[in-house]
Amino acid sequence: MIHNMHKNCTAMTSLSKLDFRVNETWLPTTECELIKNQSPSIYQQVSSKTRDIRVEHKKALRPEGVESSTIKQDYSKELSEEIYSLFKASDEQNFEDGMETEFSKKLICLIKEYADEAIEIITGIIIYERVNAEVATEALRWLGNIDHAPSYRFRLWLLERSLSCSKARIRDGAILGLSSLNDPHAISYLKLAIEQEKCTELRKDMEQVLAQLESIS
Amino acid sequence: MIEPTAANRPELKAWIANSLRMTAILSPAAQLPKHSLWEELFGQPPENITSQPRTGVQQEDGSFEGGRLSVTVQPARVDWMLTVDNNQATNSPIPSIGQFVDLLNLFADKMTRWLEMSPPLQRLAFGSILLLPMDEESSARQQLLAYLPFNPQNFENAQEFLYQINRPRSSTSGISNLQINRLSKWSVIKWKIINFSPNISSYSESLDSFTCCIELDINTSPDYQEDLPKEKLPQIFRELVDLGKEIVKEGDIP
Repeated sequence: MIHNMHKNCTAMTSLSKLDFRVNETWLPTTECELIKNQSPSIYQQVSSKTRDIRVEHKKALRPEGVESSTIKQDYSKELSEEIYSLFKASDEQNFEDGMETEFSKKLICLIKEYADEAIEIITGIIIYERVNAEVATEALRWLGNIDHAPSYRFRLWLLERSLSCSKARIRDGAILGLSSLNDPHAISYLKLAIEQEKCTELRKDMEQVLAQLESIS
Repeated sequence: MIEPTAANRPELKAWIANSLRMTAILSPAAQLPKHSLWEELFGQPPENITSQPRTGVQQEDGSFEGGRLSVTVQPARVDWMLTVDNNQATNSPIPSIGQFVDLLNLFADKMTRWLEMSPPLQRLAFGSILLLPMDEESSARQQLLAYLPFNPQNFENAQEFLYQINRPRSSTSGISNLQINRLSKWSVIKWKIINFSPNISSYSESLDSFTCCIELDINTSPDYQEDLPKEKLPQIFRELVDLGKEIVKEGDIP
């Protein structure tokens, strides 16, 4: 049994099930898979639309973001795989401070193209420490350097959150990223991190960034 | 612009719920919960646990008041969601978990209990998809317009109508500078059930059903610069729920 929803609207709805359907094609194979799983699903159809979701680039099909919305956007497995592979492929790379690499270039491109969707995946990789700490550190440095407003809040959140990661190298990357971002919002999280920091050198770095942020707030 | 007219709107209990949601955006200072949130709230294990270790997404779910309640934990957020239980057979083409107001009270009670033990939060949201069954598409459209500040006569031949708006308000919780986004989306939906034979060579369709639809996303603004005060989280959630109920009752008002 399938719930078939003919929705009389032109914009994409935010229902996750609908997003899934909209982001997929209408090819019979997908319908077969759903039937095989015996899971009722909702189909969206707008009769006057001319956009062919089988032809257009996937990114163009995502619902337009509403800044105040809290509805969870499911990210694609392909994007998750792409970002994870990028981090893994850079495991052996030597990074130098401030020097662009293939990793940083690709990372910036992905963030500028996919914004929060990309940051959400990167967050999982860094917070759960799924990759080499050096690569995670390099990513955090660049997260503070990117000029990209749509992903700003989530990048700031990830940098603040990374101050409490268990690996000192990752915390170091977060300090560098926050220094570049230069946002006083991080002050309370830096103070908390300083209280808990056991590495003297890192604590000094944190205090230095704290002073920098307090001077502008 | 005209004021929505109360006379043409049904009682709150006429609305049914397709889903209810509470989203908690975690503070950067929050440590990810390592225990089962479901078990913490219900005192027993969930029916199902799904994990995506690479991305750190974990979902637990089980039956709750005739629907399926799930909690999804991600590094930056926790989503509690009550939806239609797909394992339960139904002949109705309209996917509903029950009467909105009754379910909302039960859902809100559970959620406020969880908020009393939640990690520090940066934002909080109440979301819902609500449906009002109608006989015909034209009557559904006219009914929807009774909630909106438009003249219905201007929409007699309109199709594919969709209206979305955010009407922010200051919170009444006593937290200074806390704004609440009141995001609502209004549309008419046509539903039907399609039954496929096992080899998919033939299928049958039910008659069309129509509903008015409101999608609510009532949430604390990301512009609030601090973590939300922990002792006020249940109160804030109650306020979000009340604001949602107000929209369903009064329509789109400032």
